[in-house]
Amino acid sequence: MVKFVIKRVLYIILVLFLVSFFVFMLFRTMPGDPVDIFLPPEVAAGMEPHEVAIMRETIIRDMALDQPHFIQYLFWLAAMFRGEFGTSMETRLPVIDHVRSPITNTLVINIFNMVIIFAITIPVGVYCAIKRGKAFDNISLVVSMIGLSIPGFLFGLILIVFLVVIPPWDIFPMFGMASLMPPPEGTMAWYLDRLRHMALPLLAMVFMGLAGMIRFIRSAMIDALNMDCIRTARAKGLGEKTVVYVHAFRNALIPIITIMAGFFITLFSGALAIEITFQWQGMGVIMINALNLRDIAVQMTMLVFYAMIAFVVILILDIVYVLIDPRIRFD
Amino acid sequence: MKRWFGSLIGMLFGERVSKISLMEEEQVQSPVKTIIREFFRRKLTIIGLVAFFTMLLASTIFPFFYPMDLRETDTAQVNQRPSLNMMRVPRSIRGELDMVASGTGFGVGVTRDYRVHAWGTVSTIAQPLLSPPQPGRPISHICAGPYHALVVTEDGHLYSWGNESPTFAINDVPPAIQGSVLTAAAGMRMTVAITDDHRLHSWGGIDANRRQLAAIGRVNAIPDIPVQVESSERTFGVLTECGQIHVLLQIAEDISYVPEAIQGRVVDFAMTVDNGAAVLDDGTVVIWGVPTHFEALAVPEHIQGRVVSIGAGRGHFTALLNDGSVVSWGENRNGRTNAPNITNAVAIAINGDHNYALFADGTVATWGFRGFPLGSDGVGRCVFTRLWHGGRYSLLIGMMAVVVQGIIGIILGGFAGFYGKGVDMFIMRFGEVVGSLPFLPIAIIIQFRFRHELTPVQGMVFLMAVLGVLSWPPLMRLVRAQIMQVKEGEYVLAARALGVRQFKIIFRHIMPNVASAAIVALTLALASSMLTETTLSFIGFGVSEPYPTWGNMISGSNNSIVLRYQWWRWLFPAVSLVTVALSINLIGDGLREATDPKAQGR
Repeated sequence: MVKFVIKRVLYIILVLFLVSFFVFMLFRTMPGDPVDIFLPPEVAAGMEPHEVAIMRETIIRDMALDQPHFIQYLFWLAAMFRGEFGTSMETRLPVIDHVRSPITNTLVINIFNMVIIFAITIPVGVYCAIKRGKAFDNISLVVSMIGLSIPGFLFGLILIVFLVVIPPWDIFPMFGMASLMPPPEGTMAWYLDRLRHMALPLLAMVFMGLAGMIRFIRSAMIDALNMDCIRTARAKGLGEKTVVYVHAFRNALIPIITIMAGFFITLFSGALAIEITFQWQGMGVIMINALNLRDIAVQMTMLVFYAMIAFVVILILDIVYVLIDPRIRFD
Repeated sequence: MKRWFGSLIGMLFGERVSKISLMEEEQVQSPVKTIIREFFRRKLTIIGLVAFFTMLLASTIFPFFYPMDLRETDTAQVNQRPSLNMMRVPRSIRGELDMVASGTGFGVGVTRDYRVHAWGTVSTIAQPLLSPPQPGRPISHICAGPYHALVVTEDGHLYSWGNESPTFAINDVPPAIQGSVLTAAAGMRMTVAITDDHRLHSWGGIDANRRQLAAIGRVNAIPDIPVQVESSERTFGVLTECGQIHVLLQIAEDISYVPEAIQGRVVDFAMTVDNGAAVLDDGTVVIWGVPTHFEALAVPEHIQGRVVSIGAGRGHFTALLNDGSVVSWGENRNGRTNAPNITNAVAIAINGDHNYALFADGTVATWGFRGFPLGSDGVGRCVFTRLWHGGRYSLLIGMMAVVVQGIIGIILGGFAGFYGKGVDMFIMRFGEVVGSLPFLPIAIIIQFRFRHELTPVQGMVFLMAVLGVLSWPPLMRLVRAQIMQVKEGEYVLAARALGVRQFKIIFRHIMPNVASAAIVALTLALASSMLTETTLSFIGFGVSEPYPTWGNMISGSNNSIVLRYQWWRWLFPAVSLVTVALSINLIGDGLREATDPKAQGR
């Protein structure tokens, strides 16, 4: 097992190199003078010419802009390993500090999202599989079909229309993270304020996630219920509950865990549009800002973060498979 | 009740109605026939199929009938609600009209008993337009502009009503001139009036407008008596008693250069944005202004010498001839130059793309722009036209993305599944890498990187490629798994034993067996790539303006005013998008149920 993990980790590192190199080249080959990003022309216009020349030279030397792209990439990589991710253009903070709060915001809302989704989809999916073809199953199929056909941002807008704009009450704010004058941090009122702001984006994310998940869990469960071992279990005279929840569900677990992992990977990037719709200051908003400012340092860090999560989840998944299914081996 | 509901939904989903008894033999059918029969048994699938092809057909056909001008914007028609009543004169005053004037999107009329009426569609801020003041006295002049309307009574009072925005203050008639106004013209944001002391007065507008109208002083200085004032979207023109035209532009443009030869002979004139037209004392028409508007410059030969009066819209002219017939010419948009075959018209009123011809019996004939059937957006573009053009682009991008994805996925999946070993290993790893890339962020970055180097059309093609190239791994895995299963089959072994070439084995013997699963996956992928395109366009990294797609049509709607009060801007694209995506998903689901023997519950 250790050998397997080491092999996978090495593979992940290799892939991260490739992905980061690809994105790095995308940015570095952009048309336009890269110095302009660090020293905007409108700023340079207000300075003495010799000062500008000195500034330019410093920037070129510091950023190694006179070197070939590949060497520049190696510099970036070396800094990365030293734990220096660069400085954000937007806040002039170290990138780590710059992305800390958006990543936390995204994590907070997504953890809620994930918990709610699994609390709903697993029981509902299993129930639909058992009561296949009954009214409840059909209704949930219709609902999830509609959910699959509405893009997240549009569902967000619909929620805004029907829960914020039209009703006379003032429960949910239209967007943002906190009230203009938030209550003191850490108090009950502060948490309530946060929750109030989180409610709508969370609702949109949950609905979007529900649709695909219910269908998937249902079909995984149906496949499991059709297995021979289930017939055997029934023939043995086991209670229906034991058959469903112990025998069938264990067998449905592998596809369910796979989809959970896939869901977790897309969680961070998939909700981007919803975050932007509700102006939830998460990774999506930061990422768009960084793009528009051509803030390569922030952009690269975010991407490496995204890719890292994906690969680590895949690695964990591989290990979990072995743990829950004795038929699968490391190889 | 519950049972009835359950059976209704069951019927929609194609629950088996009659069950074959155990002893009965089931009829043998070819697999394709079975698939088709199974597919058409579910009502929801058929609904989806009909809905999808309706939308597809509409998006293909409508763009041909309603061509879209990408440069078109209209500041006077911003956020108009859906309507077709812009020229619909109320029934109660038909046959009683004495005077009529056309604004942009609305019309005003005065009946013989001096009641003022207004009709049409105006934006929320100009709502007061539709409740005109009632002077209750004989009215000598009536006119309307894009945002406001005016009536002048015979005793020289001027009433102005319409857009009440304090920035423009169009309706602030200077009290000093009340009682002495002879005539007036309503311009874009300003009014110019002529008083009985032969002077011009102007009010309203923002600084830029006022600066432009500094030229009024120049005209006031001329010892000539102004008798008529006309407005265009950009400026005003004044006709003097001596038959001379003065264009009130501070800085001369093409339209300022009225031909010297006609000065002194003009009896009536009108101005579009870029061109002017004058009727001379011998009934001929002369056009001047920007020389490239050929359609507006080409006065029909047969009307020369017979013209009595002339009116101008945004880019067209309409002339009233001495026999009471009307002729329109100019660039034909919204049917504004399709003049009806009428006689005995006594007056015409033209503005924007609207034309009115008034008859002696108090009725009117109208032609031109009736309104936006689905409203207009934030820069005055027709939502209906953009909806279908946008649908065409959205569907095209979605389909091409699926084609790209299908080609890559099937070929790579085929190789991986058929050859196995090293090839399989390599392709699977490659797929894993591409599949684990965060889809939206990477797509956004790639779009951001290359968008500025591409023309909008190239950008669309590029977007198709990006969507396809980023989404093939699931399809590849599916095809690979199917092929691995199929290639162990006896018939493949037999083909191999007979010495059939590998290429032929793959494409003649294996692929058809994989096709059904791939088609199902691709159908469902069509829905998801359309949604992805929409999402990208919504964020601003997909198709860029002015090209419409359903995504970027919704994209301007993320604020409470648009969401609530200008619902037509987002509702129609949203409904179309969901309809298409839902119908594709229904079709895909039906296909899966039909092709997958396991799903049929045997």
